[in-house]
Amino acid sequence: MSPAASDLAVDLTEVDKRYSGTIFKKGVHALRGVNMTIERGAVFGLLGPNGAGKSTLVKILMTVISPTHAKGTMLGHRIGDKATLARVGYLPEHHKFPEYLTGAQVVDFFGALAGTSRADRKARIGPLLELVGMSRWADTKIKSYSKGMRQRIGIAQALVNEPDLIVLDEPTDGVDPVGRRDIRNVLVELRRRGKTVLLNSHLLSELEMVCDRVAIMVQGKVVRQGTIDQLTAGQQRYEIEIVAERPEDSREAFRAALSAVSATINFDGMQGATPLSGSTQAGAAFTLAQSTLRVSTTEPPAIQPIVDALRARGVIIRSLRPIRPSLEDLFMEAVTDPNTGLALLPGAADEPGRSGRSGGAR
Amino acid sequence: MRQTLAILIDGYRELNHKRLFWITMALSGLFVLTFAAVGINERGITFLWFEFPVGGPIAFFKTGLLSEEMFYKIVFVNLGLGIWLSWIATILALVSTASIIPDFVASGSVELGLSKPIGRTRLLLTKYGAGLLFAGLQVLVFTVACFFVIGLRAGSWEPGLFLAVPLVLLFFSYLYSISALVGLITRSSITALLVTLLCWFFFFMLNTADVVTLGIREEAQARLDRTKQGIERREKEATENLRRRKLDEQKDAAPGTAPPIPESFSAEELAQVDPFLASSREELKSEQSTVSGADRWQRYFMIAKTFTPKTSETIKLTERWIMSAAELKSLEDISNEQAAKAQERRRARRAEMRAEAKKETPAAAPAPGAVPAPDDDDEAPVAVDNQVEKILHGRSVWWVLGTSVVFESVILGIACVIFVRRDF
Repeated sequence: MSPAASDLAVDLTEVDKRYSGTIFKKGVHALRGVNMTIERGAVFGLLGPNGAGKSTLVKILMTVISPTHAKGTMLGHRIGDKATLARVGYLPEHHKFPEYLTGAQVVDFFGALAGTSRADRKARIGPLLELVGMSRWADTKIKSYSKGMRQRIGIAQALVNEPDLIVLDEPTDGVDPVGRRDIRNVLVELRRRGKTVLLNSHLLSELEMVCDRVAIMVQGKVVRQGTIDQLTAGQQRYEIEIVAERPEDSREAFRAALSAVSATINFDGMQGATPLSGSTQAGAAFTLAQSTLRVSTTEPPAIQPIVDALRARGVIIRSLRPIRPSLEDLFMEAVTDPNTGLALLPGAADEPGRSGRSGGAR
Repeated sequence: MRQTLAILIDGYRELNHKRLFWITMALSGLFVLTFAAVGINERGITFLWFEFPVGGPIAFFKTGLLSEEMFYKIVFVNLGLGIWLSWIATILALVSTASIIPDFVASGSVELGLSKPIGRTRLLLTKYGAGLLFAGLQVLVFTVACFFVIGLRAGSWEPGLFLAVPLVLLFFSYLYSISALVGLITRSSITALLVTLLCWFFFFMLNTADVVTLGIREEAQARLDRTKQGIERREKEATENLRRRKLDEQKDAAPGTAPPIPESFSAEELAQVDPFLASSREELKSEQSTVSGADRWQRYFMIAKTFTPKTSETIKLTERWIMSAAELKSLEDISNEQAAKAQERRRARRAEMRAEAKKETPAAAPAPGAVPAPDDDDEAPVAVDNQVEKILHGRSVWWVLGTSVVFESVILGIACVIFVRRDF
């Protein structure tokens, strides 16, 4: 069941962005009808290769770029509504904070720009700097900060207005492993407080650790969207590895066991070096590679009869483990052209005869 | 308001961070200290406890013509405003502020501003206002210091001095609007600075051309008037001479045979009596052509100036308002007096030279009854300068400031449209 509109922090429909070409530059169709929803209180990961349009999409939400066409809402207001931005925190990628300000002044300045009162800013700056681990350097000028320290200050300034939605573009860029763990903890804490976080990052393993939902963008489109479980549902499996001296022995052992549990075996697959394949009585597909049988199921009871049949025939089981594909596997699959096996090229050239800009939400 | 205040405070912090801001401030302080150390007394100029007696043509210190108060005001207007604030400090301010808009719209920086609940137009204009802080603070501090110097040294507490603050700020804002627009388009501080200096040079040259053509026109007009008067005088004298000659002929002729004496004579007849009349008439034509030519060019320059900011005239307004009409009149009297003395000296010298020449070559003396050759052009240029000043001062304040502000508004309007429409 899809969530009600009021449960959505971001609800985008048909977001389109074209950059007009010039004499010197080719036009680009950066976003091609993006549809995306982010539920309130979720940590949402936006993935995609370079040039997929992630930053363009984020910038459209933050009114830095105007869309060629867009429908939808952010925190219940139309995309482009300036007043809504008072409830949004944003850390852009490759940000440049004024070098002449101290860390505390940066948080204070951007808090004021976000419309936060002086009293609130004063009350929040200390705890925020504490949260991102920058209290000791609060009164040090930004120019002497390392990249990781700047990222931490950037996160603090994105939180100073107590936003309902926090948009972080590559927040762990340049941050050391300890810092990354700290930032992850901040994200977890934000989720605990009921904040919605839109996270744009290349570090898939980190996203996997904190994100409730992800969307994968390729060539200006969202190609996959959902919880990690939903996205990997079709690819979760159990793997049974047995001890066998030769491949023929393992094939024979599995064939006998599978026949005993009334599995449907593709006999063509029994020929030569072609791996064994078929489906169990419960309908779970399986394939054999070397001495490992892969059964596409997430249900433990579904593989018990196979294990029993193998054991009844005296086959030694080396291992039995559930396998869940990583976000990286999903990502690689999404960004690889199934026909050529090569990575899809970033962006897409604008089609001739199409204008670069029209109305749409501003 | 909270956001505007935050941007302005940030603007101040940015300036505070710039070394050039403090260098300019220190130079301002040095100027004011020097200003305070200089004085005048009956014998001349003083500097600290040293005295530099001044004589000759400018020995008018403390003689009633030039008071100490006026001396300080003149120094403030001509050096403080005319040189320091409107040239040196302005160039330093333009150098220092040229990077504000390009830095603001740089990738990684502009996103932080644009993603806040503040309109783009307001954001840009407030940032522009923050850039004006440099000039505003410099001129304010300088004027306050000068106010105290004049008050303490000359005993004159002149609040009119503070008019320099908005006027110099306005003058700077014309130039800074160009810097902001170019900086926004190119995102380059160097380009913004160079284009602004180039535009300023163009405005300055336009103003110079206007003043020069105005001077040429007025001078030619003055010469034209003098030539006209000279021709009238000569025609009158020639007519008298001719009439006398005709009367003599009438007397000599048999009664009833002499033709009647006409009321007036033709130009040719008059020219025969006074050979200089023909050349004067030629000169008149030439002067008329110069006047109409200068007048035409002056009109063109005025039209061009109407559409451009009037940097020099805006600064001149300060002088007009700081120096009272009586003080300006007094200064005019002083310069007229000096000019009259100089003219007297020139005349005496010329008379001496003529007398010497007469002694050496008596044959060169004019024949009795002949009309003397016209005197050399001996009119002091001071009268023309005063006339030009009068015309410049006569130009409406609204024309000077209003059209300049319209120019600035158009430039800022273009900048706002670009900023609002651009994707960053």
